[in-house]
Amino acid sequence: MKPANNKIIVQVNPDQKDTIKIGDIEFQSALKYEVNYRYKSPTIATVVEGNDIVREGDVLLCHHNLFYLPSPYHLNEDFFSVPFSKVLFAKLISDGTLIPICGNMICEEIPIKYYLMMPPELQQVHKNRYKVVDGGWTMYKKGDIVFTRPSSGYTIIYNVNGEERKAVKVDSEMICGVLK
Amino acid sequence: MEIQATNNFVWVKRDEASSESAGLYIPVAGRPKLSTGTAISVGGLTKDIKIKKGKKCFFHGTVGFEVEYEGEVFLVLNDEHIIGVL
Repeated sequence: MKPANNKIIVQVNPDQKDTIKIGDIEFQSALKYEVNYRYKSPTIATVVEGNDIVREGDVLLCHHNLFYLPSPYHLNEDFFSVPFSKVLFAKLISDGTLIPICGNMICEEIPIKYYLMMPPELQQVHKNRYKVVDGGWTMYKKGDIVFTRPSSGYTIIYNVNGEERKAVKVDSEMICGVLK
Repeated sequence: MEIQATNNFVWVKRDEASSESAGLYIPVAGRPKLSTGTAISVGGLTKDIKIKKGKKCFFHGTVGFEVEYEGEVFLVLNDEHIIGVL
């Protein structure tokens, strides 16, 4: 089957977050009992039928709502048909590097500067500004400070070879200003 | 460091209401928020060419969102939210 209407077909391992590796020891995680869907839903998919930009075999980092069953994108078994749009965040290279796609950017949160000493657990980050780590297809470069609509940053949780990792994604359309 | 607006956003410095009324000092929290301001930076995708940097803008009272940077508070609006310029 060839995908049409700007869709791609991906294969997803539904148990990808069931084990977590800390050092050399592998643990069985209990994330399926987690209430936060970002933690428990699968986010990594392998392209089966792609297009000019994502090819067969590419590993993609996607939105956490795409693969949680019952999903409207579900075809059968582990296969899903997803739109090639902003719900696809980045390509995952084998060394763990993320290459953002579809107008998304990988960013870093900026901690709020306090005039008084604060314990680390009380220190917070800005909700409307981010430092660009990888601008992807957008006009923003690494190191740019961008201002966004409030709470535009989306924290993705994914597993690479058993290691849990986090990344912050920002949609370039949500950016309202850049520091020059 | 200067802020450059992007997309169709307009950064506005909102005008401040008078701190005095009938001889009484009004604290910041009690002052009304005016629906006028000066455009500080205009995004490249702004449709109306009349909206330019430095122009006085009029907008509805409840639109946009505020961004604080280096002690200054800016109002960020979509270009459609600006109802007039001087």
